[in-house]
Amino acid sequence: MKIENSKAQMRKGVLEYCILSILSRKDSYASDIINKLKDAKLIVVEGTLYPLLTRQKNAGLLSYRWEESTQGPPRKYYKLTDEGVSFLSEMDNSWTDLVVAVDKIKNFPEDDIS
Amino acid sequence: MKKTIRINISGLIFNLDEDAYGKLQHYLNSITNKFLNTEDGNEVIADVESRIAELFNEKVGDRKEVINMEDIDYIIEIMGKPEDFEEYFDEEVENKGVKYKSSKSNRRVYRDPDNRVLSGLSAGIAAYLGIDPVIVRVVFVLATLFYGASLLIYILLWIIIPEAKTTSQKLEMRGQDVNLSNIEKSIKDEFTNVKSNFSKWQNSPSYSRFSENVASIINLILKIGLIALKVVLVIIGIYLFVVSLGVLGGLTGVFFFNDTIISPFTWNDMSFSFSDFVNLFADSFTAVVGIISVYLLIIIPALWVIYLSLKLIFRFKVRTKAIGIIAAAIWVVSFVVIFAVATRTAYNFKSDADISKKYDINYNSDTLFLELINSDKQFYTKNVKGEFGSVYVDFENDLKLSGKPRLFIEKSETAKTTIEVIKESRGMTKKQAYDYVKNINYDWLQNDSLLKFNSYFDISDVNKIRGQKVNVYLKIPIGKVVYIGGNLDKIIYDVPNVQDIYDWNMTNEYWIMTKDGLSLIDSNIKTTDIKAENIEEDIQKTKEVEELEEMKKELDSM
Repeated sequence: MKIENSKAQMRKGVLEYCILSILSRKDSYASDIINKLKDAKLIVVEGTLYPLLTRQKNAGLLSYRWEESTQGPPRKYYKLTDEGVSFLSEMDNSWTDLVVAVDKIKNFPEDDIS
Repeated sequence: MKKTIRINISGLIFNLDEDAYGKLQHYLNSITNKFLNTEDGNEVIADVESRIAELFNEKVGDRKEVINMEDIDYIIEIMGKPEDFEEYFDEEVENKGVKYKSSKSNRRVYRDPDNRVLSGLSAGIAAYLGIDPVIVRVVFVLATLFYGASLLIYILLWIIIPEAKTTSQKLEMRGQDVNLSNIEKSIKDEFTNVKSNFSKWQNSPSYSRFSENVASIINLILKIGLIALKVVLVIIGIYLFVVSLGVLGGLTGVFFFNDTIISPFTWNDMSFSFSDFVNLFADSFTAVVGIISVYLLIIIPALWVIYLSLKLIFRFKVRTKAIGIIAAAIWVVSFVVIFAVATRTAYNFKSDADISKKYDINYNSDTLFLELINSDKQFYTKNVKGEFGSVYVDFENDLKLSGKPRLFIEKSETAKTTIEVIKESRGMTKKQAYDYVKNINYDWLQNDSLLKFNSYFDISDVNKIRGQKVNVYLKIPIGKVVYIGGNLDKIIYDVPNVQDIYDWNMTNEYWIMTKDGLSLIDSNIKTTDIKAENIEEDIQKTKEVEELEEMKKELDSM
């Protein structure tokens, strides 16, 4: 088992969650999302994002609208759909659960493990 | 100095230098390959391209106009390598199964240096078509039997099609299999694309925007038209290819081989090599030069059509533009050469010469009998004639030349009967013309009062058309009788006679020479004969003929 694979698996789930979270605050253009993810050091290159966005959109979680750009071609602005919002709130819950669970396991008193 | 290439990404135009273009193309192709088999592939690629356009725009906006390698590296750094793209898509790709590893419709014909036998052309074409190279080679070799037409095409393609040197070129060469089912698939894909784009467009907010509506409709029509056009062009390409291949093979056959399998150059079902034919007029060297020129004059446009048709059928880059310019130059040169050859050939007829020989005819009767031998000579009997002045070409017999002599029957100024044979010919120089005259063979012979004339003169020894002529002057003293035998109308020429009877009516009759030319013996008979209705006169004619016979006997016995 390669460490890279494990990391990727972990990041993958988290990444989708993070994208939805970013969009829940504000409709965003792909670059905005990328910048935020980059700041958080979740991704390195933009290429990883586009397939994800498209997939989430096709799953009905996101929708987009075109907006003219001064810097080039029109941009796609992504927005959470209602479905996306409820999906996100479920993710929020399970994330909280997960964090609690992981914390709990990691912080078990030593004697309890045996 | 570098060449720049203009590209259009997401509707924006950028200038890239050549290296950068190659790299970007390779990069985009790799990404396209990754997403080819996924539902969202096209959309992802469109997003990526759109982003690249935006990044380019930033770069260009700064200071400069041309995108270079560094910029592409920068783009790849931001966007990530194709492997990075794949990371979050593994599962889907695995689920769907990788059906096509190669890129769609980006295939080009290259020569394959890795599987070469000679130039790698066959291997390259095979890779393009997704078949075994052996098949292509066998086709090429078999087609060589067709007057080597395929050899010409092979060389042409060898020159114009580049070798796949770089990895990306090799990838392009292999590409997706272009077989029928895939053509069908790609057409279907295009339709699905168009349909889904159309429905997307209907659902999109831009639906209301008029300008976009128009743009989308035009786009849709264009796309459908494009698919139809592609199919039509390939069909036209195949058709043109087959036709020009036929022309090529046929012409090569006609020009250099004694054959005309599909030749446009047949003469009443007769077949002969065009080069042999030209050789009749021109000297050997000029003929060769002339024929090659005529061949090039026709073959270059034919090859050009073949090139165009291949362009329609396959995708390939032309290695060098120079070949077109060279071909055009050769074409012009061959045109000029043909003109020169024609002029030089005309000079073959510049000088003339003749040889004249006179013979005395002594015979022991008063009547001279004239007869034609070999009257069944081909040019008198067959409809197939190649007539060049007095010279005839025998198309059925290796283009052998013979000529038609002319027999003039005139009044002798002396008391002697004489025959004068004048042979004439033309040539580039006087000497040459003489040589041609010497090669004219004409036979006639005397057997006492019987003169036999050959129906033709023979020049097949040199077998060149140089306006050869043979004129035979038979001079008969006044008072002598001559019998013009049947068939002689074939060679007698404008014989002056008192009755003004045409040459072709003069045979099988007795004539007497008068000071005004020949006179039909008892012209009444002839006139009656022409009327040919009065039976009484017919009977009289018979009587008169009998009398004539008696008269003749008397004359003979004297």
